[in-house]
Formats: sequence, C-alpha cells, structure tokens
Amino acid sequence: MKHKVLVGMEVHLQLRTRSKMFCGCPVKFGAPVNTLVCPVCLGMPGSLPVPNREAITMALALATAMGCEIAGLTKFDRKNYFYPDLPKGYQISQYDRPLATGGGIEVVTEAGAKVVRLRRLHIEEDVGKNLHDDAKGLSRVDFNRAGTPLVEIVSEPDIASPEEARAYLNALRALVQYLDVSDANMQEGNLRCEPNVNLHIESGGTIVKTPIIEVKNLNSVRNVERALKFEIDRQLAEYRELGAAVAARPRATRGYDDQRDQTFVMREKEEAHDYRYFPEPDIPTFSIDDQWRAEASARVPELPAARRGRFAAEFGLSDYDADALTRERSTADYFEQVTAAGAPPKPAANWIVSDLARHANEAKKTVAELRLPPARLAALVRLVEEGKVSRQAAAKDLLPRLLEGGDDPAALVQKLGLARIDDLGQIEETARRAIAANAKAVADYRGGKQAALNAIKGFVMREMKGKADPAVVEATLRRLLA
Amino acid sequence: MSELWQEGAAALAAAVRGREASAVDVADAHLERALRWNDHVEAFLHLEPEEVRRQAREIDRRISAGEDPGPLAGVPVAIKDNLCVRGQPTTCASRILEPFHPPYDAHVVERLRAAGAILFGKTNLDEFAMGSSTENSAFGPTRNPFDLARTAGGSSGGSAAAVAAGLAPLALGSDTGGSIRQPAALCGVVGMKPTYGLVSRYGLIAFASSLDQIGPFARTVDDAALLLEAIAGRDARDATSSAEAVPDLRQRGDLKGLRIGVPKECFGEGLSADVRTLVDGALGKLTAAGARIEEVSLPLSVHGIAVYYIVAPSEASSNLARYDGVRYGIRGEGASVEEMFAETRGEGFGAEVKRRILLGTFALSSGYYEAYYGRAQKVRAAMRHEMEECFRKVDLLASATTPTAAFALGEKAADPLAMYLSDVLTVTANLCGVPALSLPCGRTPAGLPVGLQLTAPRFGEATLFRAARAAEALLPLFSWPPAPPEPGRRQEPPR
Amino acid sequence: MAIDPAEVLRIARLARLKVDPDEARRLAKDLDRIVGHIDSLRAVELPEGSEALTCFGRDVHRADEPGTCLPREDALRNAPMQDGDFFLVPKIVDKEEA
Ligand SMILES: [Mg+2]
Ligand SMILES: [Zn+2]
Repeated sequence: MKHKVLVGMEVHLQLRTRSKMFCGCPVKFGAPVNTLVCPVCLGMPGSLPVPNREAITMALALATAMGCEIAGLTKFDRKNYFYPDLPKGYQISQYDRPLATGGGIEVVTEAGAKVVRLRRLHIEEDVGKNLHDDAKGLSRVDFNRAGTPLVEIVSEPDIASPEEARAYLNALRALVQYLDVSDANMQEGNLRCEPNVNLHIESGGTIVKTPIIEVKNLNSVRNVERALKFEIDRQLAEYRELGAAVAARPRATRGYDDQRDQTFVMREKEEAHDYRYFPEPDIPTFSIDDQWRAEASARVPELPAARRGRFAAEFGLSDYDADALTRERSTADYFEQVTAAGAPPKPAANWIVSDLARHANEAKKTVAELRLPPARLAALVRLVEEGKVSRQAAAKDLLPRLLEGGDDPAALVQKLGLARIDDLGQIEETARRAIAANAKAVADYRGGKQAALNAIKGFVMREMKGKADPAVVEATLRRLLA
Repeated sequence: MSELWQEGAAALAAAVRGREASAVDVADAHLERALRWNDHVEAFLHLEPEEVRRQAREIDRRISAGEDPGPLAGVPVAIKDNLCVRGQPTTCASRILEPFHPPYDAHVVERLRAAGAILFGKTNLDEFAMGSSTENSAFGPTRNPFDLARTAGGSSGGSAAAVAAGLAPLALGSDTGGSIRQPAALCGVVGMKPTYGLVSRYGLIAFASSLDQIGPFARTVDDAALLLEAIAGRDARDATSSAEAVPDLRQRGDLKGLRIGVPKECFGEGLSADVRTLVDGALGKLTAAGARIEEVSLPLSVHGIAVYYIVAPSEASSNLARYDGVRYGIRGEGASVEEMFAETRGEGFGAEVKRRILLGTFALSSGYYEAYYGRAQKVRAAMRHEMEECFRKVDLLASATTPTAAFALGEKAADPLAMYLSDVLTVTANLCGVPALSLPCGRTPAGLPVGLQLTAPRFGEATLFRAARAAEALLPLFSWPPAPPEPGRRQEPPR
Repeated sequence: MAIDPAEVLRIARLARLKVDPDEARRLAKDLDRIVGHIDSLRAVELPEGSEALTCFGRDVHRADEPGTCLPREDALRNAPMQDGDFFLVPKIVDKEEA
C-alpha cells in the first residue's frame, strides 16, 4: 500500500495598509476594543463601502511577484452568511472574477525545490473578533479588526507533506515581507491558514481517495505541520478500518486542538455553503490598466529566491548562508550594506548568520532591528580578518559593546585590551600551566580521547581572555602533549 | 401675503434672507399646521417642535450676524425616515429599528444643514421603503390629504402628504421603484427621482442598492429644482455617486421642437380611463405648445416588474441581513446566537419585508441564481440599452405616473402581486438609472390628483426640469386639499 | 418552480427569519404567485452573449488615508446589549463539538 498526500492551502493575509479596506478606520493591532470603528465597518444602516486603492495595489504586487495572471476587469461580490462578528450579514469578497489567477510559489525542502501552483488570489474584508465568555453565558464582540483588508490565496493541492506545508508558509511569509505588504505574523492573526488535506491510497492497482478535510484554528506554522501529520495518520487509520468505502465519507471541516495535538470534527450547518454570492451593488466594477500594473510591478523588489542565487554566485557564499541571509529582506539588505562598507563578504555573512542572528533571537528582533550601523560591523570584521583581534574576543567582548552603542571598534580594542596576543612564548607558558592544572583531561587525551583537548584549550583561552588565536593554542597544546 | 405655510420654498428662503420673516415664524407656522393635520394624514413619525425651533433660532442668529445661511435659509424640509439624522430616531417605519438613533448624518442631511434648511421631522414610509401605499409602515398608514380614506401612495407617502397638505414646503424621499413619483402623483405634488448616482446614498438606509435614489418633493418644479440643487453632486463616501457635473437645473424655455416619446407599452389595458383622459389632455397641451409627440416602443419594459421584483428583493435580502440584534435595533430572546437572530428578525420585520427577504433569498440561493438574479440582471442590461437607443430618437418620454389615482386604504393590502403591479410605469426608470419626474396634470372627477411622468436620459436633468417647468405652466396649478373635517384629536407631537 | 411551505421554511432558515407553520403556508401561496409572474423572464429573448448589469459607475477608489473613528460610546450606544467595551451576544456555541 502506497499513499500520496495532497494538501491545498488557503491563506488569509492581512494587508498592512494605513486604513481599512472600505473605510478610513486605522489598521492597528492591540488598540482598545471597539475604538477602531465607524458607521461603515460597524455595518450601520445607511453606510457605504469605498475600496482602498492601496490595498488593491498591494495585492497586485503580491500577485505579480507570484507570477499570477491579473484580471483586466474585476469586481467585488457579497458573500452572505450570518455570524455575530460579521457586521453586515455579508462579507465583501470576490467570487467569479478574482483579482488574479494562476502563478505559483517556489518552496525548498530537504527533498529539493518545487513550485506549488496557485489557483486564485482575491481581496476581501476581515471580520470582527468573538471572545467567548463562559462565566456569564455570553460572548463578547470586538469590531476593531472588522474591515481590515485581506488577500486570500488559494493553492492547488500540490503540497505533498507537512514539511512542504511549512516550507510553503515560510516562503509565502518571506515573500510578503519582501514586498512589505503584510506583517504575516500568525500569532497576531495577520496570517491565517486553512489547509485541506486528503490521501490517494494505491492498493491492488486502484486508487482510493480519502475525503478532503479542511483544518481550522491553526495559529502557528508548527501547528499546521502537526495538524497535518495527525490528519494523515488519522486518514490512513480510517482507510485501514473502512477500506475503499472511506471514499464515500463526506468532506468535512475539522478543528485542531494543540493541547492534545489532534483534530476534531466541527459542526456545520447544512446550508453553510449557500453563500448566495452576487455582485456588490455598492461598488462599481474596476479595471486594472497597464499603468496600475506597472505601479504594482515597480513595488516588486528582487525576491528571496533570486537574491539567494545572486548572493551565492556573487559573493561565493554557501547555500546555507545565502538562504539564511535572504529569508528576511532587511537582513539581506543589511548584509549588502556591510559588504558595501568594506567587509569581505564571506566572513561578514558568517558574522550576521551566527553572531548577530543569535543576539537578534535573544532580543526577539530581526538583525536589522539591532541597529548596529553597517560600517561598524564592517570595521569589526576587518579587524578580525587583519588579525588585530581574535574572532573569539571580537564575538565575546567587542560585539556586545558595539551593540550597546560603542562606536569605534579599533579604539575599543585598545581600550578593552583585546588586541590579539601573538607572543608564542606567552601562549606556551599558559599552555604549560593548563596542562599542569588539568591532569584528568590530560590523561584522557593521552588515553585517546581527542575531545578532552577542548577542556584544556578552553582553560588557555579563558586565561588569555580569548585574545589568543585558538588555532595557535591548539597546535601548541598538541605539540606539548605529544 | 398669504399664510407662511402656503408659501413655496424659494419665497420662504427669500423672505428669511431678506429679513421679511424670521425663520422661527416660518417654523412655527408649519409646526402649528403639522401638529393639527398630522392626526389626519399621519405624515410624520417623529417631529420635535423644540428641535425645529432651535434650528430656526440658529438661522435667525446667523442672519442677524450678517451671515448668509444658504439658499434654503429657514426652509423646513421634511425627511423620509429612512435617512439618517444624527441623534434623531431613524426607524425606516420598522419595529426592528424603532430604538435606533444614528450617530451620523446622511450626506443629504449634511447638505441641507449647509444650505440653511430646517430639518423638519421624519416622515412615514412603507417599512424599509417596501411598498406602494405606506400601509406597510409598522406605525400605521399615511392618508391622502385629498381623501383620508385613500392611500397617499408609497413608499414615501409621508413626505408626499406633508408637502401636499402644507405641513412642509419641501420633503426628501427615496425612490427604488417609484417611491417618490407614485406618491407625488397620488398627492398632487411634484416628485422627482434623479439619475442614479447624482445624489449620494450615504446615510440612506438601503433597500435595493442598485436602484435607490434620493429625490425631492415640492409643490412646484422650481422648488423641486431648488432642493435637488442643494443635495446633488459627488460624495466620496458613496462609490456609486457620479463624478459628472451636476446638470443646470435652472434652464427656462418653451417646448418648441422638443421631441417627446410616448411609449405605447405605457398605455395598455391597466391604465384607468380617468388617468388616460387627463394624461391625453396634458399631452395635447404640450403638442399645442410646440412639442413633437411621437409614439415609441420599449418592448422589454413590459418585463420591468418581473425584473424589478427579482433585483430589488435580492439586494434587499442582503442589505437587511445586518439587522441581527447585535449592534443596533431590537433583539429577540434566544439562548443561542442562531435563535436570537431568527427571533429578532422574525419579530422585528413586518409581513411585506419578510416576503421580500424570502423572495430575494430564494432568487440568490444555490441552484436558482442563474435563473433569477443572473437572468434579471441580463434583461435589465438589455432594457437599459433599449432605453438608450430610444433616447437617440426623442429628448424625453412621457406617460402617466400611475395606472390609477389613489386607491382606497386596504384595497390592495391583501394582494401583494396587485400592489406590485401598480409600480408598472415607474420601475423602468430605476432599472435603467435614468431621471424621471412626476408633476400634477389635473384631478379626476372624484377630485383625486393624477400625475404626468416625464423621463430623461441619464444626466438629462437640465432638459427634464426645463420641460417640466414649461409643462407646469400649461397644466392646472397645484391646489390645496380640502380642510379636514375636524381639528386633530391630539395636539401633541407624534411619538 | 413551485414554492411550497417546506421550501419557505428552507429559505427562512437561510435568511434567519423565524416563520411559524401558518405563516409559512401563507407565504408559500404569495411567493408562488409572485414567482409565477417573474418566471415570465425565462421566455425573454436576449442577444447572444448578453452581459449582466452590475453597477452604473466604474473605477471608484479611495486613497489610503486614515479618517476619524466613532467614540466607543457612540459605537455601542445603539446596541441592545453591551458592557461599555464589547457588544454582548448569547454565547456562541455552534462552532464546535467534540
Ligand atoms: Mg475568504
Ligand atoms: Zn470603519
């Protein structure tokens, strides 16, 4: 029995406009509840929507970046359903003439690169937020988010594994960040995804298709991956139980419970899918002319995949470094600024990908948000490359000072006494003390445990405040212990 | 000088601006009459004398300060109760919106304030403007000032009756399928539906978005033009409001050489003899004055009612989905949200509104869309094309506004289809987005007013008003309805 | 297309309208007559490739400029039930069941 996994992804992405899709209320996260509202986004009687051109331009830029075909003439439609967070009893969306169709996103996993094809991209408005309050037996509704512009991106079922699903979402996130059209932060809910998944199971020459399951309530990329893993196993188990009859089971929507790491059935109303779409009569049809297309294209910068390739070719970087540098646009920009300021590219890449990335991670910031001026990092990289300070001392003592605002790396090296010690006599003397003080490690090393050398080497480096060249220290120790 | 309530809007504004009369005097004259007459005609749902006087005092203050409050200085304008007025009840004559006080003014209300007008109460209508007799108001029907046992028409019956009875010189209505022109005809006043897009719908509580337009009621064509001038023009908050320049509504001229088409489909069997006689007589006078009357044909217009009763309810079913008991209006009991929704809407909407919501929901629902809504919009596009073609040959179209004069209250209430068919002559203008105006062309032997409808191409208001002015001079002048048999029982303001 | 009381109830559920059985019978009669009339449209001959009319205007957008919001009191004032911060509704329970 062989099986193929088919995952299609439906992503809702909040666009980072200044104002909402159809009214002037600001788009902001974390404002006091029900303060970012007006008659339009509250669906007050008599209010009318007027579309935000910038949101459409952002969606066009995204569609252009993904190679979609952009509609010439398009329109908004109403999707009618009732829910307390939906102010008008309909959502303004796009139905049979989406803004764009086709295109694709390149994803890279260990299995290699592939393109996940897209079905469509359209614009719609977000709904408000329901907060469930069990205590009083009531639910509360906040409409701050209602009317925020969204793009909905629907893929073909080309995603073949949970890992690919993760890679797809990461690639999409990188893309929208490059385009600067969304924060694409799943925790804040500005990227929401609903994968649908089923299996084609081959057995005895026939293919059995399990029913398509749509999974909801996923709030992190990790949960998407976990939920899909669970669903695949569950569908396989269901097939083992029912055999070919599984194909006759209905399509369903399941929620995901991340505490239990499992999906569960969600109740759906029988008429849930009769949305009675019809063209939004309050908004005239609109055309995307050449000028608008050009305006959108001009917003598309060099994209992650292209930049990755260029970094590898132009700077001789490893694929790993090139990928790590280009995942975020601001990091890649920063790298280019550092090299432009005179740092040799390979070590500069190494500093950014390892040292700065670690500091950024700890501070929950991006590399660029550390705000270390590129020229300063370039000066540091040069000092190390010229042998004026050891890599280790630079990383441990110099970089933190620079991140705190220290401004002249060369002067700091002098001030902190970090200049590299090249005096072989001094190194040898410290090495002898280290051998005397680490009898156990010395015995282990001599007994054939190579790793034991690290302990002795660490002692030397500490004694010398990291100012010696680790390679020289190691060579000296090996000679003395030979 | 006659009494202030008998004056037209232009004369009142001139008197107030020229300090011949104070705005407070004008307001009081109309308040006194409105409070006395409203018990009989039930034109107003809400009229607050103190609020009216407060506005009037402010106008007088500005005038004494040497300011010019604007072209409608001190002129009372009654507002159909589906137009939002900040902080005042705006009910759409529906139980579901009975407690609603909008936090904002409709665009037209802002424009009226800017023109110096006095917002003079909220007038009765068929619930959510769905109806042709004002009998669908949750608060009782409006009565025709010329015969209190008859309908004032609808849905803007309250506005038409208020102007006809001299309770206000001007009123605003909304017209989705004839809701200004039909009551204007039945009450013997001028009523006009502008080109779709000429007047912003922002703040007009939607019935059918692609058909609704706000327009003026007045006793003369000049006054109607004055009110339309005050409210017309582009508004950035309504995406369907047009950027076209507002047509010149002040043109004067005669009818010589004007080509007026008479659609033969409008003179079919449904037209009553009384109406036909008066309309034929009016057309004869126009001909005598130099107009070239020619018969034209609009074959698709016979499908107007069918198209209208798909498009309007479909849009309405969606527009009225927002009344769910969450953000405004009344709320029904219910343990779950689903129950609460159904209870709220079941209790809050009247029979006709429910009928139309169901009809529209049906026409849009899965499996029926193509056969109904989709089909109707295609026929509508073809009708619009047919209308455009027709206007290559003629400058205006003329017909009766309604097939009959005012019918008795209760006469059609039990038969929705018969009621729907009374819109037969008016819906075409809405479906095609063209402007149309009804002006009085005489009274039946029973004394009931009859209206002549003139229709122009899109943005053809200049010609429409010019011709209507010339026609008005040839036709019987507006005359006041007889005084009611007794003073009002109730001397306090409505509601 | 004939409309019977069962069909009325189906549509009423979609439209979230509480309709009792008596009302459904009456409405079915009314709607059936009305639909009978509007069904006449099916016979109308239209030119090949006729487009549906949607809207009269074309290409209307607004610039991305933030405007003013309602004060929260004004936003909540008309609500049948609210707590000064939120709109309150009966507990939403229809979303999931284990
Ligand atoms: Mg969507
Ligand atoms: Zn808003």
